[in-house]
Amino acid sequence: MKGTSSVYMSESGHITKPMAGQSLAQVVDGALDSKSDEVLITLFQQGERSAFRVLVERYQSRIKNLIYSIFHEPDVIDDLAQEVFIKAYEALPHFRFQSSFYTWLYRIAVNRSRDELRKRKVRRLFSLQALLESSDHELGSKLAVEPRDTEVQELIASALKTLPERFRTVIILKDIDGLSYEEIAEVLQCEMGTVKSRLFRARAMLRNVLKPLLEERT
Amino acid sequence: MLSQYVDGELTERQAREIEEYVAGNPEAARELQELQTMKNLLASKKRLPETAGFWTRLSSQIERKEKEQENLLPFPRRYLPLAYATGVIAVALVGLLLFQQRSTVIDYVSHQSDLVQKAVEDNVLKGTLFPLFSNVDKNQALQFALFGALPLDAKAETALRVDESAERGYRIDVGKKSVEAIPKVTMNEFVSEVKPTRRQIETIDSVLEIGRQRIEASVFVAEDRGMAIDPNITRLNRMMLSSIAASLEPPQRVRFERFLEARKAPYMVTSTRATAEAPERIYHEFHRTQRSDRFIVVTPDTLVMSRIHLDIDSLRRQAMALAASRPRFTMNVGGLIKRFAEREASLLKEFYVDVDMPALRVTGDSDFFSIQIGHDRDEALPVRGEMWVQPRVRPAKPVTRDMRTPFFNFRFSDKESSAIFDMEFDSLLIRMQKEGPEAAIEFWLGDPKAHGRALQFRVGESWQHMDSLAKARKRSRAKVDSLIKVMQERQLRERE
Repeated sequence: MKGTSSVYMSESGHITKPMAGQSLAQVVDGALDSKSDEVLITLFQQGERSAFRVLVERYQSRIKNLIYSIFHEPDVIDDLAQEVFIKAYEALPHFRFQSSFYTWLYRIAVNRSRDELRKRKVRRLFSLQALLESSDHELGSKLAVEPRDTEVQELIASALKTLPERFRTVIILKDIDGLSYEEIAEVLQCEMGTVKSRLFRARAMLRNVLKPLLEERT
Repeated sequence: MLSQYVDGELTERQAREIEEYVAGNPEAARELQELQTMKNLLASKKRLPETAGFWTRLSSQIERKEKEQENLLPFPRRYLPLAYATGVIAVALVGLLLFQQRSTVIDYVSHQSDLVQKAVEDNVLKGTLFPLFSNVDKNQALQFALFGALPLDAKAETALRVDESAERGYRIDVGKKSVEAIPKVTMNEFVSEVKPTRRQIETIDSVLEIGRQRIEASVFVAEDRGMAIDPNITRLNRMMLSSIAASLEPPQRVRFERFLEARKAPYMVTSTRATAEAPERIYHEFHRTQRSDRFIVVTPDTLVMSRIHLDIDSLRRQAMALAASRPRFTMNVGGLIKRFAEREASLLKEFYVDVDMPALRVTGDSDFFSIQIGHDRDEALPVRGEMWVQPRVRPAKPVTRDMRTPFFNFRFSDKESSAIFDMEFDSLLIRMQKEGPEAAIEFWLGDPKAHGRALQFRVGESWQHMDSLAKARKRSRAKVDSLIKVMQERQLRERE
């Protein structure tokens, strides 16, 4: 991070930028929560570091849920989410408002998750067969009996996990996070057509895996 | 289109068309309903509860990062002591192992163990410990598998070399002398000569990747203050090579053996298994092999075995941050070797470390040092698991028939083919008796008419090379071939 100002943390964990006289924070304090993303980013770029906290609080839940959907491992969520926001903090001074903040943030999160998956690839390869067999088997046996509602969540998560990353991400962004095709294209930096076709294929795959459950529910 | 319909991303007209189509097509109607159900199920996915303290943690991380950045520029060498560089890194020097009270050196060390510990702490832990090999690429990993050597700088003027066939046990050499002709080898050459399938290449890629990660986690330097090496690196290259061999089918293994031989690699493929190993098993075997948190720590003042817990990911990140901020930054051990030389004109230290570790010994001069582990093979670190390759050891004394050795490796090769057998010596004798005296002799002596052929056999550690020109009886080439074929078939049958 370049820039001349340092960040200081008060005991409450609130980041403030000490300045002689009045700081921007003092000027806008209390009102920050109601500011739009764009205003907060502009304030941040002008040196108002506390604006970042508002952005974090606004989006941390979404980012954590996105990571959780991709990995379905509670242990990794916090660490990865932290990394995503640190990256955002470092890159935010160069944010050019060419896309909305949250698609930009989603992009960081998706890319970070991909890196993580890639890093795990070797480890995954190692037990891929076992994993596939066991998850198929588990899924099959779970689907054989009528699942309770709490189990449905688990089933969906395991079914999602069987999808390759590029299909998994697109369906998560669409159906869980409710992004539009255009926004997904922005996050994944691909064409709309690609989004549509991936989504179609992702659904076909997922439908195949979840068939018993769907048949019972429809 | 159904998918887009469910998302409400169709134009009004398109949507109407879909509705009409679905109305007259029960199959499509069901599909649509299932898609809708699936979408609803996904949308109902439980959200995570909010967690407290996220911001507190994040802000302290950001703060720390910024402080690091500030510190980095004016005082690079003090770039945060490892102990608190990130909260994640837990470096614990659990304690130095007990030294045996045997030699004067050891007495000295044991009396001075506080000093030793302090030296290690001052030199290694208070510096920033970085992985020395964080940029090893695939070809270098392959090169390491074949020759046990890795260049330490871009110009390859210095290198690290592990040598498990050293006379006095395993050896790790660091510096200029270890550079001697590390032949260049690339994955492309391997692919074009050994001709693996796409799937095999994937497996081999993964093996090299695992190996690469192991290499990275095996050697650390603390600038010019010290170096920590995982002694298991001395067997890592053989494990990598063995895993590559295990992924190959017999004909490819023959080509691989030729590939190794042509490059004078110190190993040869010895397995005669009839099929390749499944990738999952290869990875499993590899992962099962030894790793420890026990490192050989070399500082200008000391040489100890020490338990160090390192978080490789955070160390790599630090190293990358440092490299990014200092474009000229290169990781090297030149400074360390120089400090060795400054301290003592001629470096020679020997320590017997207790517990189950073999003796350690370090020797060196102004541009080189060598760490020896163990004095002989039995004492050195054993290799676990099945090995598909063996060291290509130079022939020692001639082996006589009377010599009682349990294992017998046999290799036959000519310009077109190469076959490798390994079998128990006794069973070979029995088999040869069954084949009749003629066969036995032929098998031992080869055939003078078989131009360019050589028979090699191995007993224990030594290789016998026989061109048999002097002693052989005149036998037809076909007979040798048929004999070898019979042996090969039998062996395959037995293994099945």
